[in-house]
Amino acid sequence: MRVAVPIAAAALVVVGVVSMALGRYPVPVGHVVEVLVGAVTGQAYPGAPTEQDVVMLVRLPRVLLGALIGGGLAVSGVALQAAFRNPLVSPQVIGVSSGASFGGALALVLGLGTGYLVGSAFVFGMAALGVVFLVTAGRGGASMLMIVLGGVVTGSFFSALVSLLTFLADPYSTLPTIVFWLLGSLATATFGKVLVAAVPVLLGTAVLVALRWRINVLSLGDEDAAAVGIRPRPVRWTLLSAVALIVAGAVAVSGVIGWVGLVIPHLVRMWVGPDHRVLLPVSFLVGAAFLVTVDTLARTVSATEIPLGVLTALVGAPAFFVLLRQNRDRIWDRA
Amino acid sequence: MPGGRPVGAGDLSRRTVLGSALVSGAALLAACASGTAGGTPAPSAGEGTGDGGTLAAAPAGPILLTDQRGSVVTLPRPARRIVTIPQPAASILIAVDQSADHLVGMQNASWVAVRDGILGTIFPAALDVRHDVADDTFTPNVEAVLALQPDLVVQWGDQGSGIIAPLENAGLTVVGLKYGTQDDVTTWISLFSRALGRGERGEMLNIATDTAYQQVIAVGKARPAPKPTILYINRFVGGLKVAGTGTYNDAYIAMVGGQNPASGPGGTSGKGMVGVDPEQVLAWDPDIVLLGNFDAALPRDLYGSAVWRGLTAVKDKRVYKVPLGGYRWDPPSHESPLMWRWLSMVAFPGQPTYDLRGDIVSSYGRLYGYQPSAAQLDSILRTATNDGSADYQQFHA
Repeated sequence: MRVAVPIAAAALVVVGVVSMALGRYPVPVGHVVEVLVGAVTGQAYPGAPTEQDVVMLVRLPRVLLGALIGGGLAVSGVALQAAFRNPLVSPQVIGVSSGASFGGALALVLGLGTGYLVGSAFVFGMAALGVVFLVTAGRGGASMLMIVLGGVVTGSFFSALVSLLTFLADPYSTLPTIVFWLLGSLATATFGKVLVAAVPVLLGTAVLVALRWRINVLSLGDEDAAAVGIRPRPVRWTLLSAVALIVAGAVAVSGVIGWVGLVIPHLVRMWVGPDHRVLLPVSFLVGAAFLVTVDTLARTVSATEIPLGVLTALVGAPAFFVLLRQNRDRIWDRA
Repeated sequence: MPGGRPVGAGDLSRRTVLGSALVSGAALLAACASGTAGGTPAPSAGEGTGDGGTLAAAPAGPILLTDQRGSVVTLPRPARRIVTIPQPAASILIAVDQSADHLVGMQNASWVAVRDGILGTIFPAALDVRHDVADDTFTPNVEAVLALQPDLVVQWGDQGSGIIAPLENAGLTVVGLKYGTQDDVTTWISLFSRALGRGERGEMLNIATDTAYQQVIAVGKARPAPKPTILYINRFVGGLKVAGTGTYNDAYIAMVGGQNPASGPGGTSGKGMVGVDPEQVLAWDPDIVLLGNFDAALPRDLYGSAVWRGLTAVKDKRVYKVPLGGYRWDPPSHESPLMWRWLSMVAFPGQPTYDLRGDIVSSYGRLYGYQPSAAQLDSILRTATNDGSADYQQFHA
C-alpha cells in the first residue's frame, strides 16, 4: 500500500488549494491560483490587493495551521493507539490535550512568552500521560476500560483546572484568550502561530516516523517485542514524549480540538492496514486534509463562525459510537 | 455491679458517645447562630448622613416597583444596601444616587469599569465595594450576596429563571432588568431612583436624556444617503466578536444615521454579539470600525497589521476606541447621550460640530456633582489612543 502515500499527499494538496479558494470574501478561483503562483514565482499580483491579502494572510496561515494540527493529532492518535494497544485512545480521550491546555493557560495567566507556553503545555501533557500510566500500570497490562477511564478522569481534572484559571484570570486581558482555548479554533491563525506549531509538530512527527518499525513490533505486545530484541519501555516513553510534544504544539495555538486523533487512525487503518510504516505518514496527510476541510466549512457555511469542536464532534462522535459497538466484545472481555 | 462488665477508661458505651455528640452539636449550632447575628457587616457609615445629594422627603409608605419582568416588588422603605449584577447597573446606580454609599456589591466587570474610568476618582468608596457576587455568566453566588445583607438585588430578568430564581428563593428582593433598547435604560433609571426614594431625580435625568435622544434621532433621520457603514467590534483579541441584530450598538449606529453591516441584508442572522472571521469583516468592508471596552484592542493593532490593511476603515484611518467615562460608552448606560454625540461627530465630522467636552462637563455636574479637568476629559475621550485616527482633533480642548 505504499502507493497510498502519494495519493494522500495529492489529496491534501488539492484540499488545500480548494480551501484557499473558499471563504466569505469572494475571490474567483482563477485569482486565487494567480496569487498563489505569484507568491511562488515572486511576481506581483496585478489584481485587487485585498484579494491577495485574503488569500495569503487570512486563508493561507489558516490552511497551513489546520494541516499541521490535523496531521499532528492524527499521528498522535496512531502512536497512542499503538502504545496502549487500545483502539479507543486519542490525545483527547487520554487527557493529554486537557493537560496541555492547562499548561498553556497557566503560562498565559502568569504572563509568560510563547516559548514558555509551548514548554508548559508539553510538561503538563506529559504529566497527564504519566497519571494515566500510573492508573493503568501493573498486572500484565491495562484493560481497555481502565485506560479510557483513566484518561477521562485525567482529562476532566485538567479541564477543571483550566476553568479555575479562567475564573482567576484578568477578564480584560488574559481571559478572552484562555476562553478560546476551551473551544478550539483556528480563527486567529497567523504565520507566527504556524511557526510555533510547526516546530513541535514536525519534530514529534519525525520522531514517530523514525520509530515506525519499532512501533509495529511494539503492537505485538511487550513480551513478543522483547523477544524480538526491542526494549518496550524506552520505545514507549519516547513515543509518548513525541506525542506530548505534538499535542503541546497543537494546543498552544488552537486550543483543544477533539476527535481527529481518534477517528482518523481508524479510517486510515481500514484503507492501508496496520503497518505503521505506511499508517503513520498517511494518517498525517489524511488528518491534515480532514481538519482543513472541516475548518473551511466552519468559516464558510455561514457569516458566523461555527466552532471547530462542534463540527469535529458531529463527525467524530458517531464514528466513535460505531467503533465502540464493533469493539464491545473486546472491552467486556478484558474489563 | 454483679454480672456487669467492668467499665474501663476507654470503654465508652454507645449511649454516652451519642449523648455527648448531640450536646456538643447543639452547643455548636447555638454558637454559630449567635455568631452570625453578632457578626454582620456594620451598615456603612454613610447611611442616612453621607448621601452625596439631598434626600427629598421620601414617601412614608412602602415603595412598589414593577420590574421589567412584570413582577411587582415591594420595598418597605427606600433601599439602602443594593447589590447589582448587570454590568451597567452599578455605575447607573452610583449616578442616580450621586454616591456609592448604598452599593454593597457589584459584578466584576462593573468594578473594572469603575477602576479604569473616572468613577473610581469621583467616588473612591466604590473601589472598596465587593465585586465577586456573580461570575461572567451573571450566575450569582447566592451566599455571597446574602452575606452582604442587601435590601435590594438587581439582576437580568431576560436570561432565564436560572440566574434569578435562586436569589428570590433565598428570600431576597430582586428586580429583573431587560437589555436592548434606550427605553430599557430609561426604565432602569426610573426603577433605581424610585427604589432609592429619589424618584424626582430619576425623572429629571430621564427628561434630559429624552431631549438629547429626540435631537439625535431628528438629525440622524435627515442624513442623506449613502449611509456610512459602522462596525462595532466587541472582542478583537482571541477571536472576533461583532455586534449583530438586536444589540444596543446596532440601535445607536442606526440612530445616528449609519448602517451596521453585521445586521440587515448581507449581515449575519445571529442576534447579539456574533463570532466572525477576519474574512467576513473584510467582505463587509466597513467605513468606520469601533473597538469596544471589553478587551485591550487599540486602533494601532489594526493599522499595523497586514491582514487589515485593505479595509476601508484602516486606509482612511477611521478606527476608534470607544470612550470610557463613568461607564463604558459602548453598552447602554446613563452616559449614552454622550456616546450618541461622540459617534455622530466621528461618523459625520462637522455635520454638525457639537461641544462634546462642554456636554461632558455639564452632564457630569448633573450626574455626579463633579467637574472633570481638561486632562480627565482627554482621558475619557481617549485622545491619546485615537489621535492617530481621522478627525479626532475636534475632540481636543
